[in-house]
Amino acid sequence: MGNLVHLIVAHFLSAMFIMAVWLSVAGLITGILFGAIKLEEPFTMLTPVRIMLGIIYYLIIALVYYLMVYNQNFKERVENEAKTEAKYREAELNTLKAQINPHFIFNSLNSISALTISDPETAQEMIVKLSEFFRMTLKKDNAQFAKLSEEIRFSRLYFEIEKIRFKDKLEYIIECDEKYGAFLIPHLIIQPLLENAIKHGVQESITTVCVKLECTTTNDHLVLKLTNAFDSESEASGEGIGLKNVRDRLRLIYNRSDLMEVEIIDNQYVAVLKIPLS
Amino acid sequence: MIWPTAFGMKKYTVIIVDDETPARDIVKSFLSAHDQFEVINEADNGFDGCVRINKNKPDLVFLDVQMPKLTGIEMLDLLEKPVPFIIFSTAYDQFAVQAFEKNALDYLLKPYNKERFNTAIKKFLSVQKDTGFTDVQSDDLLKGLQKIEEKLNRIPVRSGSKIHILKLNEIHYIEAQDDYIKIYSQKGNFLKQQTMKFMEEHLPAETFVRIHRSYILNINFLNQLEVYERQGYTAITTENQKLPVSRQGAVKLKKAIQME
Repeated sequence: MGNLVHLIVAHFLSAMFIMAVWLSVAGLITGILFGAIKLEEPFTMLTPVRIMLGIIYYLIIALVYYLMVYNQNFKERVENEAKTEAKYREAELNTLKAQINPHFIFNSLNSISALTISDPETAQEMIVKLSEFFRMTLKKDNAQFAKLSEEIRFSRLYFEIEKIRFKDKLEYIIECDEKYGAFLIPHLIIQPLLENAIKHGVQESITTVCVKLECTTTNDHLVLKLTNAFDSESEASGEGIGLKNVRDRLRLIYNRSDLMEVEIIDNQYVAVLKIPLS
Repeated sequence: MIWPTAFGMKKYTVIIVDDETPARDIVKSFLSAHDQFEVINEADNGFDGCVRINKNKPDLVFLDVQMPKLTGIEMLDLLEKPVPFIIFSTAYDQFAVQAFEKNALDYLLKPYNKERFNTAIKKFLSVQKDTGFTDVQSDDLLKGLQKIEEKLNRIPVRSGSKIHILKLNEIHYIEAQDDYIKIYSQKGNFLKQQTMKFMEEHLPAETFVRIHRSYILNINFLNQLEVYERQGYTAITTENQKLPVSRQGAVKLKKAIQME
């Protein structure tokens, strides 16, 4: 309310000021143009017209001013929105980034606990591997991309740790040429696929399961393929939260929804990731 | 069964069920400090575990929750009564832990130390002196555990000493029988202690329709729907079984097979 009164008073005063300036300027101009000729008469006659013109001039000035202010605000708002959007996307991407399964953490710790009694050397080895594994998940916390070579190393560590847990039940093959090592891929993007293969392939099986990770390239993509035997009898195949996160994350990063494919061929679960080479 | 030993001491028999070798090792290692226990068998999956427990009738079972073929929770449902005293172990199942706590059973959160393990053993020994683990307790625990399961994708059943795991697409229909349900399937008919309400809520609704107070039908096994008297229908299965369909059931059934 106070603001409104303030605004009206301000406008009134500036209108008065503009009016005074305008009237005197107009008077001056008439004086110069028409000189001494009937000075009194046209002046009085023209005054109402001049006041009207003054009001219109003032309104135009005010309008232009408000338009400029509005335009400025609008630009700022758009900028802010873009900033918030970027922040939101980043936050979303971070939550989508592989979340290490608590089952994995506690079961691994339990294996170590058992090994400290039966096989202290392997226990020590596993602690080192687990530490290295967690260090890799922490180090890159804010980076969205990592080198393929690092991600492969990470996958190998994960397999090695799970191998201690599952012993002969798990076999793994990693076929990835070193020449692809420098390619950048989303950090921890393979992890949920590995976890999925362990959970549904290895954990649900009572015989040896081989998990295979392969890297190849096409003209414009790096292709990561994970294959594991899958007992379709023991569980319905669905796309778990882990795989859904991978899909969502790829879509947010590359703006494409066709970068992950999952299919079951002859009791083999095959997950394929295509990473665009930019 | 309590085994007499050379020293005349009674031994409690133990079975360990866990899919991870190190996890079984640590139980054995901690248990070796207690002379009065003897590990008579182990299993690395729920299916074998269940068969061995029913066969050997141990006094105490160490049971992991997350296992291949059958989970610890599904296993509990299949054990012959009286159910042995069970100490569950789990790495990370918040909901299961809640169920264990409520039902006064002991459980071990992995990893655990010797002290915690010994507490569980003490609990077993004190319960043994009193009443043992009652059927009511095991039923309550099972009910608590089943609540946390969202959708069924297989149904483990027992007939005599044999255990079958029914896939949903093998089940023709389910019939209510007092406190039990009878599952008619390709592998035969099985009784199971469960409620129709639970089955209706936990089976996929697009395939399994509650056609009557006493019947849930797998619509893939529906052959014909006949008008029966005025208000009702009769569903005829592919196996030529005739099942009554209530008025409400008919509405649901028609919707499921998209007649309306």
